[in-house]
Amino acid sequence: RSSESRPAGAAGWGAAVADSHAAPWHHRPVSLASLAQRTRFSRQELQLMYRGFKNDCPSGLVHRAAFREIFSQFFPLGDASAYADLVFDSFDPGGRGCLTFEIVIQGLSVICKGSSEEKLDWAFRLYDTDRDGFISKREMVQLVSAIYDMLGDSVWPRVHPCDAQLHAEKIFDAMDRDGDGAVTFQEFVLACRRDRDLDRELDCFDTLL
Amino acid sequence: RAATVIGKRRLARSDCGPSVVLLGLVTRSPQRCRRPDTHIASRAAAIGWVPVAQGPMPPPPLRDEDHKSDEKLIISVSGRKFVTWRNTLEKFPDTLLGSDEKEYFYDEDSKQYFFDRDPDLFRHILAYYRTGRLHYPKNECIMAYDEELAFFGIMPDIMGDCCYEDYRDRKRENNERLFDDKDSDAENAMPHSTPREKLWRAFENPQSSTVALVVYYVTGFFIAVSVLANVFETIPCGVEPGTNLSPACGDRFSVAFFCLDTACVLIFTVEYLARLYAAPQRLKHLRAVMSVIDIVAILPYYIGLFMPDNKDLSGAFVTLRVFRVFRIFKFSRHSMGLRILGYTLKSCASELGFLLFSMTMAVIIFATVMYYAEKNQPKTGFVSIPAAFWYTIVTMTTLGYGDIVPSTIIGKIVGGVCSLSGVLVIALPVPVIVSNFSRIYHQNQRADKRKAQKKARLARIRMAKNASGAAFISSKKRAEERQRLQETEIGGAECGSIRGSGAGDDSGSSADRREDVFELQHHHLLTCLERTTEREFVELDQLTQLPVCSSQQQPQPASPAAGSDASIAGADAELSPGGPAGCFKGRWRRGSREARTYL
Repeated sequence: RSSESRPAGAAGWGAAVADSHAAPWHHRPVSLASLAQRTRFSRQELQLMYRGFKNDCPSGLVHRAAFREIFSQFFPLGDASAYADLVFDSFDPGGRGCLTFEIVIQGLSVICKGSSEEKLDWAFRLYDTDRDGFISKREMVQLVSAIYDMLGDSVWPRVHPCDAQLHAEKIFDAMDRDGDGAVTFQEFVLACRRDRDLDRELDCFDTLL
Repeated sequence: RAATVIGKRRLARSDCGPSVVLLGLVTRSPQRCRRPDTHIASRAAAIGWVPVAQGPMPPPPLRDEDHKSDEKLIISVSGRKFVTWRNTLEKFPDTLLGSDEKEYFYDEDSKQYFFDRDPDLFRHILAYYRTGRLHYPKNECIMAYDEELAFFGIMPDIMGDCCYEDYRDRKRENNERLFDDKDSDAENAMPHSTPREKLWRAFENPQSSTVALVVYYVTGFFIAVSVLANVFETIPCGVEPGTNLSPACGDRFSVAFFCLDTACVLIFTVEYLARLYAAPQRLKHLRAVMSVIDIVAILPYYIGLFMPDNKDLSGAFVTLRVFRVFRIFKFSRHSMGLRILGYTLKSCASELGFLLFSMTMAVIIFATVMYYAEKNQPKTGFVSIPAAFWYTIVTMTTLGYGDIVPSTIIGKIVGGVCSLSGVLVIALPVPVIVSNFSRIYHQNQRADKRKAQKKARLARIRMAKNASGAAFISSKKRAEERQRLQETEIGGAECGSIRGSGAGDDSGSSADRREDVFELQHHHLLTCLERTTEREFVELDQLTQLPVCSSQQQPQPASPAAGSDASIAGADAELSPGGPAGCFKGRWRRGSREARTYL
């Protein structure tokens, strides 16, 4: 994880406010070359990504609201804020509540260009919101409800309030082999690989720049 | 305010049948769906669905092998170069720059898109693509800006909140101005109208004809006479012999005053009935304020006529005479300022309402306190709270008649506070009303000034058009000469007789190289029109030298008249459309062709 560089411009009060409690107001990312080295994106891809990123967040910091807005534009019919929050948290903003470009890019580098194991690892982190290393039934229900929320009302068959719960429980029970109420990473991977061509499915979300 | 593009996509699910999801893309800010970084992020985040999916994911769409990653485009607007990414422009695919339409403007030689438009305004257009928000530059003309937006296919309604109010206000102001001008134009340009319409126009616009002006002044005079008579008939004039009384003039010369009143009411009745007859929408006219005032002004007289001479009712009759004072409101047709005042009061209704409400509140509070402070004093004027209202109002408006005064200490203190606060409460809404009045009054002044200047402006424009029209005709004659020269040269006939008529012209065919192809073809077209209709284009000042057309009617057979040629500038409005065989003054002359010889 890159260290946060000194805020550009206001050297005076900016330096004084460098502790982690105060919200940073501006962030300049590390150089393009080092980021290209650290992640699996090429220079052109990084340039493309940063241009769009900087347009939306001129200060260089992404807040939760920005994520929600992005998702709500891709899923305009439903309420994508819950899922957006989960994704935001999965990038691990730490105590600050906002993400920097490096964090986002490093996360995306794993998701887009990583191996299936790395992708599953990220998915596991997505599900495991309290970071205890296990997925509980509550966390599963939370995630599945977030997915169902994105659908909105204009779907058929209609979404009943208990659908998400039932779906989550079904999946959870299938995953939890030993029945101890918590899904570990190994159980998670095993369950994902069973009955499906995992690699193909994970790859179908790749996007050509 | 949003443009919606609706498409349908079926997400196949193996266990629960097809679920149909309507995708609506609501564009209000930059389309993030079209940006590569957000696209990647949201698609990548969807990996989280895979473990819980109940069916397999569909395969991704095939990639276009020669899909270019972003490239820069050069847009040249009147020479000023703007460079941007292709993706930036394609954020809004329903505009000119975002769609294929811009290919029409692609210049192969310089490999850029060339637009022959205003480069200063193009900045704002491009800023819309870059930031997703459309702004309105305050120093630009609204019509020019609107035209640019229309050209580039951008709907002005998506303007950001920061500029939308301003834009709408300017647009409305502009529309009003144009509408005003067009209105008065339409009025003046109506050639034929029924007597009813003419009457209505005479009433509404006193300047339209002398009869209207006369009517205007006569009614004004009679309103003034009537009002003055009402005033004077109450003055005591002279002592009645034998008694000490001095009766009012109205009682002494009651017959004279009655005749005067009758005359005025007759005039007003005739005017009212005429307006009612001429009104285009009678019901609406009946409900209009001015006609209600008219009715109220003349009704007391008629009621008085038909009422029996009864002692009981004569009291009511006297009350009715009070309504005669409403005749003074009829002056508002004669005075613009009065109408503006009325309009201002109407538009400031909320401020006036606030004033009234706050005054009422203050009056009630102070009156109550004064009453309870003073009620036990001997010989006090504060006998009840409503009686104290009178004191409070007189004090708050700083009148201070002195018919009721407080005598206790508390009463005097409260009275002091009351008069101080009265000044404040009244002073608050007044500036709003004043500024409203000032704005409306100035607007009106400007409209009047514009109308006055319009005549002079139109006259100047007409003169300029005539000058250019004359130049056009002379150049057309030159072109004809040259044409004929060509024909005679080709045909080999004698050219002496032909040179006689027409304006002088440069010799040689090198001269017609100077006139470009468009002009030559235009002149040829006009010549064809002349031949078709057996007419000839002449200059405006030559028309006055032509004899009156009726004497010339016999030699030529009547041919159907063509409409006026729009390209001949100047006398368009003066051309009266005559019938097919009719004779009409104008630019047409049934020219005799004997002077020219043609092959």
